[in-house]
Amino acid sequence: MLLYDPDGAIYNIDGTRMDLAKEYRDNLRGPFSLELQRVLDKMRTTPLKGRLVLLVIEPFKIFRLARLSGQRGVSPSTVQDVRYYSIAEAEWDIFKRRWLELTGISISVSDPK
Amino acid sequence: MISTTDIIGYCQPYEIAAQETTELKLSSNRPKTCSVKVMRIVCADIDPNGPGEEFVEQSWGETQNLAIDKQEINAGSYAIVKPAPELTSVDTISIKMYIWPTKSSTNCQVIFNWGNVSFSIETDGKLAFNFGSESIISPEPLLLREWYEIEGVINFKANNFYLKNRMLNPVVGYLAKSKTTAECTQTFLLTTQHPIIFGAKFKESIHRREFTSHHYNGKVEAPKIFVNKNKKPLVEWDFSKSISKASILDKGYSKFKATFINAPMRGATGYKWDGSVDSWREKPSHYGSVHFHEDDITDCEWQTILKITPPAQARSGYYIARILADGVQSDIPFFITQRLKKSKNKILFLAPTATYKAYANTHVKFDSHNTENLFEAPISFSEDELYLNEHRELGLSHYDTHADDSGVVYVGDRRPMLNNRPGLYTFNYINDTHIIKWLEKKNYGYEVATDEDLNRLGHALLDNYKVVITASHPEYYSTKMWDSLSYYQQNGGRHMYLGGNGFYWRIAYSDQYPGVIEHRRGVSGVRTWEGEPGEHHHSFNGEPGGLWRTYGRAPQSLVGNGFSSTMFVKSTYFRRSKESYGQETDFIFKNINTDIIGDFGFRGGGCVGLEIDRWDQDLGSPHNSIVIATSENIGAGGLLTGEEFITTTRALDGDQNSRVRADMVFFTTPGGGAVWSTGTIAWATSLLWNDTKNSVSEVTQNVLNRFLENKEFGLNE
Repeated sequence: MLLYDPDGAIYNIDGTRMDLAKEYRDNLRGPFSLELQRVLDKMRTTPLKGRLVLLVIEPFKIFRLARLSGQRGVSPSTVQDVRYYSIAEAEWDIFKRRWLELTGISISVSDPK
Repeated sequence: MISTTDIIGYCQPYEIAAQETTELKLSSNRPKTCSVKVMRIVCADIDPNGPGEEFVEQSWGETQNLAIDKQEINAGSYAIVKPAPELTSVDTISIKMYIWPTKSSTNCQVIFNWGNVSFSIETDGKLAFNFGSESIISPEPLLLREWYEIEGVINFKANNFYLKNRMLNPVVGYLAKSKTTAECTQTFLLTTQHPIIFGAKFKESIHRREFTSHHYNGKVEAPKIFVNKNKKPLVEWDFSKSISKASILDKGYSKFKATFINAPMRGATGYKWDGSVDSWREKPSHYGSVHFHEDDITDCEWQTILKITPPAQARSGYYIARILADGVQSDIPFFITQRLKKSKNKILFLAPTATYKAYANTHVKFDSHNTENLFEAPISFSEDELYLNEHRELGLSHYDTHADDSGVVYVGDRRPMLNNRPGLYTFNYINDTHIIKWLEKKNYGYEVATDEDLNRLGHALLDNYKVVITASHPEYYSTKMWDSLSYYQQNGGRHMYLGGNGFYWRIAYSDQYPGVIEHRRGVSGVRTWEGEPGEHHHSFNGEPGGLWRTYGRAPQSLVGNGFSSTMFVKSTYFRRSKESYGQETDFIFKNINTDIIGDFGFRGGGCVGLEIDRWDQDLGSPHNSIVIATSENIGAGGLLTGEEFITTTRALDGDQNSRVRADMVFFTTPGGGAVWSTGTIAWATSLLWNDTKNSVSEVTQNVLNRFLENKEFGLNE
């Protein structure tokens, strides 16, 4: 029986590639360059335990940042009191957080206006 | 905040006709009273930027001040023998069986329990034989997914007991067999007045209903109980017999019936399975085991709070019992189906209730590693989804795996289904109500029937209708359903398939488990788990499961197109084909002055999206079928399904692979009938765009109007 490999995503992100961060900021829904697509594929297949997700606080309006427990039946834990007021805002912030976690480098690209 | 989960429930049956009764079962986590309103759904999409939710309150069924309380769910499958044999006085008792454990657990798992005797797997993974308050423990933990023969013997005369276990396929470095004996330090009498339970520990009986605990994950095969020195067992069960049944008589006296509760998996490979066959019908002796899971549930068995009986004039359709209480609004879905009752309406909408059940209470966002990658966006969780994660006793979907990682093959409707109701989970159920609202806005008279009706009543359900509409994603079909729809098409019927990825997986129904469907995933298709080797045949009827395509019935052979790709990032549009300008199909585009169809919609901004189908004569698209439109600009977000490529390649996305496309198909059938297939889920969710003033709506209306005419379709059209 074939099971998922939680550590299956082996691509290494080059944390200095701010051009990729800028590309994502300016076009959240793609299409993406091949390099940025690989970055996103890596981010979206990290282990379930600790993966950043959103909790709906008010449908279609307010979302809260949380992390999956990776354990069946155990609820996600919220991350401080980070709230978003649109999915786009959440996607960009989650991208920045994952970039830092995976590369150790903070994104220096400014937030969208 | 209004809660949607402080009160939850289900209607049993899920699918009724007018003047039949469904029983409303509710459980409350907080309020002590509630009121109920019955509403017919026109559109269940609550998105303020969507097509507009719409419900029609019914004059019947309203009830105030209903007393409600918490109701328990006894999740976990087991087999129960009640009454069990009566033992008055014996010198020795010996209990033997084969086991294949599948999960280590922080809880003790009871494999067998009869009064004060049991086998269990302790929290350290070791096997225990328990008698009274005393236990013998195996020297080493059991290895998961390995077969063991186990035996526990109590000698009342010698006042001792022993445990033997033997690994059937010994592994170097692990104890192949062991025997541990112990004196009984206290005197116990065998207490056999309780039922025999396999797969759990007996807890108590309340109102003739058994409650169990300490559920076991794994297989049990060939249990036998011997007394004294008799070589013939007092009682034994051969689980390779009566595989399609929910109970099995014992092998000897045929008196002690083992009844399976919450559907442990039957047709499961046993210790004799050697890969020489992959079907239990060929060599039943290789399928002698039963696979128990701690999270199986087919029936919550809740008390009825209210009986709902729609009057004769109640329209067929999607319904909810809306439960209202202090701070609570919770919708409980059910269907009123037209069944065979005559109607002046010429359109039948087939509600894909099998598909709704297949997805009911899906946990893939929590449990499946690849979900975020599939949807290509961060995952968000609604209150309903968070509740489902915390309350696994509400049961799983066909997309989930059990706690022991094996796939879920049985799903039922006698439980709350929190994603088949108005809410934030729009796939299938809510998307389909876009079609309902479109039919109403366009003033078409229609009736609704369900998959279960089609499976039970066959083509007679369809024969009285000029047009049958299938929904946005009618994915799960039994053989009877497929044959019935095919018969209808081949005998003058007109079928409009308004979806994508339809007619994809084969399922089975069973009169042994009302409201339950079975589906074996197999080893191909877009899956969230892979079927276990040798276990690809349904226990309900012996048919192979998996993809219809594997068994010579690709969806193309039924409706002209079949599943090619997922595309959850964004949707796109169709371009009308040159072939569509022919005399036979020109009517479809009447009064439409553009070749671009559907560059708009509520899901991803287009009518080609989510899951899409393509035409392929090699896979069975009829020789006379015409591709009347094909998608464009799908892009890298479109990803080819696994069965669509043979060798590995990088070129699997919509930028690089021509198979990543949707084809809209039309063909005529014998007897003056016709089939029109959109081949995209997002078609349904584009119908209501701009208040139906759009090309998707116009094309659909052109087809429906022509399909409603008496004039037969034929070559001289």
